[in-house]
Amino acid sequence: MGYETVIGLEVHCQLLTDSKLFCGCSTDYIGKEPNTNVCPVCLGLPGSLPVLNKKALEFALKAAIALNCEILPYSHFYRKNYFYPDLPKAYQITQYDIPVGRHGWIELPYSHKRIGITRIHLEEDAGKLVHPTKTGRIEHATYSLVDYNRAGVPLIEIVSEPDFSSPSEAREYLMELRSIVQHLGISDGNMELGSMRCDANVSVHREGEGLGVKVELKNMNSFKALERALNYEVERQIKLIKSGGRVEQETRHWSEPEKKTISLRGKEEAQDYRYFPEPDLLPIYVDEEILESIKSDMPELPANRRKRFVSMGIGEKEASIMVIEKSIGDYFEEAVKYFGDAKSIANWILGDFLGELNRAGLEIQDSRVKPHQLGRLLTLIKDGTISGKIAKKVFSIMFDTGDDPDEIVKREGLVQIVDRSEIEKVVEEVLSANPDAVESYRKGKANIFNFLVGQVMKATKGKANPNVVRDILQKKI
Amino acid sequence: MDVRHIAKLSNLELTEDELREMEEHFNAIMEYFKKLSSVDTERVEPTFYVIKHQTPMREDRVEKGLEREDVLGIAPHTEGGYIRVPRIR
Amino acid sequence: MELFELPAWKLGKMMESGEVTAVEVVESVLSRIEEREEILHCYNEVYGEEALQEAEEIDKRRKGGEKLPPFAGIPVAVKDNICVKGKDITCSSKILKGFISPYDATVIRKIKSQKMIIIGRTNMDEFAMGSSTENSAYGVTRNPLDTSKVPGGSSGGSAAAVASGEAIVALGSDTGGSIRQPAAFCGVVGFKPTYGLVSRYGLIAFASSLDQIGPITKDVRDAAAMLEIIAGKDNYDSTSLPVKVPHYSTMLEDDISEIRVGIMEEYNAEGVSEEVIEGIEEVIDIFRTMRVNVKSVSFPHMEYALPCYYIIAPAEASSNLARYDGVQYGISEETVEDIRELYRKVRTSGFGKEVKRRIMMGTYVLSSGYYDAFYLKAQKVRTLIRHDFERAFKDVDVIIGPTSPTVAFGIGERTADPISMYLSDIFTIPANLAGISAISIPLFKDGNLPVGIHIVGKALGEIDILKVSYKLEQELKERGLYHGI
Repeated sequence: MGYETVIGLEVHCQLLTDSKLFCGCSTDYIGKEPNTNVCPVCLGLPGSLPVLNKKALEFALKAAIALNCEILPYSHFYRKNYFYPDLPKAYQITQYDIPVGRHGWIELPYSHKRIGITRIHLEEDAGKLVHPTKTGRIEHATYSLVDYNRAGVPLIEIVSEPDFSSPSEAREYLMELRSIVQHLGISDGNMELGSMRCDANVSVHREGEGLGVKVELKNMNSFKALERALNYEVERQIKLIKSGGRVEQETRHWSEPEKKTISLRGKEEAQDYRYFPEPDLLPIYVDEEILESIKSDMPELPANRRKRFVSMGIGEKEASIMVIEKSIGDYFEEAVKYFGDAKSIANWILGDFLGELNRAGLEIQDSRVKPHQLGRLLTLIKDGTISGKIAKKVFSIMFDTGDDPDEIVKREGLVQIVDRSEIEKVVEEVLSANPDAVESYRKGKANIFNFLVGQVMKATKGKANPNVVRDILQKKI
Repeated sequence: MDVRHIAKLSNLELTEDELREMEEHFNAIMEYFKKLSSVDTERVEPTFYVIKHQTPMREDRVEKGLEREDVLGIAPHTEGGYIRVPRIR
Repeated sequence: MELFELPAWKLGKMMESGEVTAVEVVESVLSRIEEREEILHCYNEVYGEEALQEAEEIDKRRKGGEKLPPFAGIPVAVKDNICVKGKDITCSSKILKGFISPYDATVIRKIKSQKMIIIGRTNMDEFAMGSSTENSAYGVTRNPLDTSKVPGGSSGGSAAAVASGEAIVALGSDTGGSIRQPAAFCGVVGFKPTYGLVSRYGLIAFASSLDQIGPITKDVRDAAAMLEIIAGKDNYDSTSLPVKVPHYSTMLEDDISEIRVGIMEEYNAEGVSEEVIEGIEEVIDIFRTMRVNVKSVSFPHMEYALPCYYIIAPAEASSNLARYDGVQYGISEETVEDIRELYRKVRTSGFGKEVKRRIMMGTYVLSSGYYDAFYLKAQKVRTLIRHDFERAFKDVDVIIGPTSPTVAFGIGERTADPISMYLSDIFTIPANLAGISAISIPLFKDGNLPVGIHIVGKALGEIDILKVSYKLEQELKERGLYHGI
């Protein structure tokens, strides 16, 4: 008998506002000296009061619209009360029964499955803890250090319905969600840097039976980690049930080095968050006017962009990959302005370019090769100035130096030889130097022809136009 | 009601005597609170806010915050620019 | 007459005309502090040196021909829960011992810009929880009119300072009567503005939806002037009202014949003392002789105000006071096993009994399974109390009643029975629940302790309240029911 998996995700995205959710401190906290990006409000000093950042609300509404949510005309903030050293006020200002948006959905790009969005709400981030031990893990530390620079950075929390039946679906959703927030320009969705964070609820049950016990998973810091953790946890739960055990309702941490989930049992006290409406902020009213102005300002979303890319002559799969990261799609569209053959541009980006970027550990927007240069390179191939093979070499140099392709071709003397008489000369030399090969070919060994083409190319350092070489060889033999 | 549980949620430690006294007080005050249950609030909305307009909003502008010395200067325990706390369990 | 006995508006004029200097005013107040403070204990800290320096600076500038604001050089006492940059602030709690505020409250910025001189921070009930200033980690404050009595609370230090001449004016905060009740007990004027009229930024929160800062003064004219200074929209407080502040002090002498005066029908309810009832009846008589039509108004939900308040205020307080945990500021502990132990030890040793009681009450009414029965229910009853006022304000513009059921009671008299203590705010609490404005002005009779006359107005009804109480104050003077200090 088989098992079925039920997964739901809770995703937090930091919003790309300049200032924090309730005060004027900068949201640019990464790499800053600890506790230098704070004020009485985000430190929760006695007497300080929050004032809502207008842009953060607009961003949350944008997300709610993009995720097809019902936008509530009235919502308000709550206090979620709990003690923890990274939480300066000992409560988090968040939303509860009336979020910014609810009952939305998102369609997955590959499986085309529709995933329900339960709710999307606005809340503040906490500070950061450092655990000064070799492992950096909280349970090994004899004390901890707190940096409040991140405290108060705006977050949206997006809660999905438990609609995923496999870890790969969950990953697909998360990637699509990231693409959406990137396209909206409201979050950079960087899991490694923590601007996008994901918790999961996982349960398994025997086919045809009721839902199993839910386990909450935390600490997955990449898409791979999410999928690994979910796979591990599903396996663990199935094994446990098969061996007659019972899954316990608990929170588990994914440990990337150990590649397993670890129980936090016993370390968490029973929580009672004592939510109540935040009296320091008044309600939010979202009227038609605000909504219309936000709607009129909505950028193109990934689903539409994929369709548009396909209509430009690109395969569905390629289009999807180019939309996963907004910046790749942007680069592609820019390059197409300089070279109209979208498919070639896409092939180059998804081939050599991403390869080089991965090796160098760079994002496409940080590359020295600018879109117009890629376009120019492809133009040089098209007009026969260089061969496709030489182009790869030129690109590699462009990637390292950022120089224009024309300049590289000129400097390195890589212009393709198309002059027939010049190539004829080389062909004759090759033929006279390889009498045996010529003999074999004439006796019917057809594949020797390619060897001879290769010899000509080698003699011209790859610069000869291969079509011309073939043509001449055919006639000469 | 469980006074011990409430004390735990509040992060307060009470001696047995204090717990007993607190329980007595609670019982008396709860008795007093019972008055409220006789009020018919069937169709009454709660007053979470006495002010009826929308929450004012700030423009998204960065303002200068506190100097680090002011933050660390009032903290009981610091280390390397951080605020130091005991083991977290 | 000594300078410390005079109201601020008079001293302001005298300084402006050169009749007295700011240094003389400050010295007079400091000498009074010297004389009385040991017994009264109005202050947690007095800034004598600095106050004198500031006064010298003001005199110098005035001599140089500079035109200064009318209250420049007036010594103001500030309740020890309003943040002053670079100064200790304790809320009369041990838990905040050693905490120095790194910023100014909005009201402090305003009084500083008026060149008023902060003379010290005043004693209070810990975190403003109490009605007698006996719940202070730094000792009790005594009533200047009778040192065996409490000054009321929680702004007892501020009220006692103004009443004794240890300050000219003071700032207090009022969550359920904490300005008005001590003003009544000490025989001075206390004003609780409409919720949102005065910024709460920098006021250490007790119950955020109820707290308001307000003035405690010697007379109504000073109250109007102080209100003008501290009121106004503040971008740092989301609950601040976007209104233009009227020039209250220029309207005090306006005709009040258009203002409809109501008397709270429940003023002689059970538990209200004879002298208080007589005081109210005296006031009714005054209005009658002034040919002001006085109408009786009733508050059917009056009896629910107290339980309603003792659910809402502790609930908010339990959350507002959760931040005091020994991590970022205040007292801490050296040897603890883990963070939970730090929290428990700091909070257990740092908070006093009443504060613990209210934190626990608040935690309880918000906890899982009880929210609907207590917190939500109380917020609904609060709506009914608001409706009572809305109904009453259709017929009248201000409502007169007692500030407190009794005059000042004895020190130690009610500490053993918290509920009897809570009852002393029974008449002041409804105005906080409804977010409306109210004043207490004193009536002195036959050398007895004063009775506080409570005048409640609509939301933003400050002008009506001030005009009526100014007129009443004049009449009390006429009848010899006014004391002055």
